[in-house]
Amino acid sequence: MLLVIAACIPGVACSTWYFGIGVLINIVLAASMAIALEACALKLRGKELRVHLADNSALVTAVLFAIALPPGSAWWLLAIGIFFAIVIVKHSFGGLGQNLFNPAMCGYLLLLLSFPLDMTYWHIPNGGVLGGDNFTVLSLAGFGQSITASLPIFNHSQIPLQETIDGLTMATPLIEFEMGASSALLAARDAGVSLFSRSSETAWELINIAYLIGGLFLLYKKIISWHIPVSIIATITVISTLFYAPASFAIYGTPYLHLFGSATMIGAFFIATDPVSAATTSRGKIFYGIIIGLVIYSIRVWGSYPDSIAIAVLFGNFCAPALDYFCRPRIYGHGSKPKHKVQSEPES
Amino acid sequence: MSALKFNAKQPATLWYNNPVLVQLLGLSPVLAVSTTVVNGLGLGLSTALIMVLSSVTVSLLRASINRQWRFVWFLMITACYTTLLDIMLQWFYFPLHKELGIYVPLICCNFAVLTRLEAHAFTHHWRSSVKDAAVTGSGFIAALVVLSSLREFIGSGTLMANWQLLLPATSAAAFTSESSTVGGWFDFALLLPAAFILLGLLIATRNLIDSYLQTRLALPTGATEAIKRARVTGSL
Repeated sequence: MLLVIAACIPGVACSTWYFGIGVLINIVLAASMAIALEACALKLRGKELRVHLADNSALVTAVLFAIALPPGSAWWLLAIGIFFAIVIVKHSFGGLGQNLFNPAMCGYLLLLLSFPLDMTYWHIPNGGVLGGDNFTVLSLAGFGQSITASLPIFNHSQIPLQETIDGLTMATPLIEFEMGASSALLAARDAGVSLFSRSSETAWELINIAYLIGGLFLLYKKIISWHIPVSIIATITVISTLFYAPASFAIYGTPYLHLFGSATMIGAFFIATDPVSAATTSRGKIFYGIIIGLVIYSIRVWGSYPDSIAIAVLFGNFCAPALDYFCRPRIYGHGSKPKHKVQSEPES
Repeated sequence: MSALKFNAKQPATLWYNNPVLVQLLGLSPVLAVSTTVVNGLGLGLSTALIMVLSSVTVSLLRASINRQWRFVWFLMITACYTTLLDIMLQWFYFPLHKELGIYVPLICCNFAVLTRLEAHAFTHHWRSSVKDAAVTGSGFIAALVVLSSLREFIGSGTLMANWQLLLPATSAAAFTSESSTVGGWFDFALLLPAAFILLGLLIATRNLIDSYLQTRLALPTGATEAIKRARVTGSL
């Protein structure tokens, strides 16, 4: 499980670079609360703490949950979500290995349904909003702003932020289709802007590439199998290519936008591959990925949410038991020619 | 585990034989309507009223009801009363009727009612049946009020909002005719999944208190006789 967290490091570092220290505060707060709640739940269920805490599954849940939330979210938001994820979704269903649904995404979706305003409000330090190549996002002032956003006990009034913040840092660029027909990375290179400058709108592409690298590392280490990520990415590529037309990219978006301008990579490699709630057979995994890819694209294009990894993964979790039932691997020796001719029973 | 102790033939009690928390009967209106206390109270009172009326009727008519066709009779009797109640609600409590919607006509196939008819009213004197139906109905109301006050408080941050709906329609119109906004605090509690989760937590709390009472205070369990089975392979 620690390897999964290690594979998240490039993506987390990349988003910290763009969105400030709030990303890390999210992770630290969520992880500490998750471990505390996990310990409480284990104690209540009469399990041995040391053995069950050492599997680090609560830590992985907390990290994925914290990445999904906007940086610098208030502590009570994180607390409600992580409580729901760990206590209700995981432990009341029987703990690790028994949970039907992905805990991190359930916690995220609970918050999205209950507090839509807080869940789309990104507490970015002022330096990040105003743009430019300065380093104010990671400076001491930016650090202070992120902390006051996370712990509103110290400062009851919300930090007034510029109006442009929504346009710049909405959950993903999908909502605005800002990236247009071509890659922002290529556009930045053509314009002579540094790729890592915060004014170049390359943030989501680089973050996605960082998660792709992390996911390839997981594949290389054989933590996850290739079936789910490959089928999700292939499905999204195929369907977005089918619907893409140069004249109407403002409606459907380009395939590249669907793959790299959104949360596709972290969804495909880190979230959908949760070994407990995903399908377990190889053929089942491929169908599971196809279903998730279809739901992701449908909700993005025809639904009301800008991105839909959480809903799609939960929908896939619903389908997983049925997929496992219908995609059972063949019993060894089934269907091969019998070596000895079976004697037919004499008719009576 | 109190689930094993449940027996429909037992005398009705608020705690040991609660229709919602122990028997788990008639759950669909409970889950759907319990978004506000007023709705829960309105539906609970209607259901209890129909429970009492149909219990008395079945008990009085039990000599002439054919045993093989008894469920048709039960359904006809509850349907008659439900239709009457539906019309009366439209007449006197139209705003409340609008809030409750389809769940008033659906009382006639509520199994919390039909179970009482089958288990008690069909074989007992009408005085005993009134008591039985009243106790079961109050258990239904109590569970609905607890669940709906939880959901209303968490979801909207209010308790007993729009209470004027419980007054007759002409008096209710004297107060604000606009119903105040529902939701705005923790909206998830108003959705159906939250109803399932909160009902599960309520049942768990009830079982916890029950086991505490039994172990610490050594109260009787309420199970007066063991469940009999046709083929017994071991003690249950």
